[in-house]
Amino acid sequence: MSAGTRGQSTVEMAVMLGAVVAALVATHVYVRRAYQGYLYANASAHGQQFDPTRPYVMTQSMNKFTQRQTVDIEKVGPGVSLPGGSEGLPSVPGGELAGGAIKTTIHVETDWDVSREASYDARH
Amino acid sequence: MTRAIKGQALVEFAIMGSLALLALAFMIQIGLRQNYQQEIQQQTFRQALSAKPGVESDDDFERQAIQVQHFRDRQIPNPSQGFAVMSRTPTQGSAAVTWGDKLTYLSDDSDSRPKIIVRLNNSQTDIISDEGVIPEGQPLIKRIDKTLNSQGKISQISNTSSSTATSTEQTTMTLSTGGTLSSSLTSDCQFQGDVWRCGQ
Repeated sequence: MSAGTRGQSTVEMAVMLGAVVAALVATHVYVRRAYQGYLYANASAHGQQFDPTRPYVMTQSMNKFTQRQTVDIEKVGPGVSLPGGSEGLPSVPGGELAGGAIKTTIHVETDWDVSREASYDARH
Repeated sequence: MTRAIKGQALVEFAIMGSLALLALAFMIQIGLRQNYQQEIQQQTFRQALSAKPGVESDDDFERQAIQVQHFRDRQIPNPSQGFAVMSRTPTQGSAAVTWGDKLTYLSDDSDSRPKIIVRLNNSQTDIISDEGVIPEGQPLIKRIDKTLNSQGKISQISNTSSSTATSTEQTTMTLSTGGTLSSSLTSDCQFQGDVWRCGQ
């Protein structure tokens, strides 16, 4: 190939490369927008995002707590019970002394309702 | 001191410190309970001394003894309970006082049974324990009903926080005489600024 022909091929190659690079530079904006759109779509798929610079409300409530306790007290039996004398000692009297054990029955019922609410004003 | 040793010390402090805090809270709870129990025992004895028979009416003029039963519910912090539950711990004291000056001069037709005063928080009932008033073989207090209702809310609105806690405890005591005593205690707490303020 003569020198003139080689020179012509080189110039053509340079112009072609320059045109391709110029096209890439011109379309990079759209490539960036496409990638950002991909990110936005993924982030939106997670729902609202918490942003502390925006208004938000978070509430934990114990709406109701009820406890009912019942104590029943009764006396069971005398304090001391004396059986009395035997056949050999019939004169010893028997009987019961005051006092007595106490039986206590305790019943407890508990019921509660707890809820949590959160609302965020996400950045759009 | 190397960083590893500092880190180990920090971890040990975090674990043992929490246990120490738990033990401190337990001791405070025990101390408060014992203090309230001793306080009501002393108060009850003083009430029995001050409630001298023969002062209020002629019915108990010849009675030589006074018996006082005092039940009082006190609030003691309990970390094991949930937020805003605020249940109350019952304390009880009893005292019986006999006046010696009437032992000798008690007339034959007078009654030696004591006058009984039962107090539940701010409620009081007086029982003249004549024969048959308190059924034979029955305890003075037959039944105690307690109902606790609590509500609470912790809320964070942007950079401000507000919280409320309310609890009401109603107690009804049924005596073997057929009478009843009732009391209702309410606690209302609000988080204002950076402190809790409670009204009762």
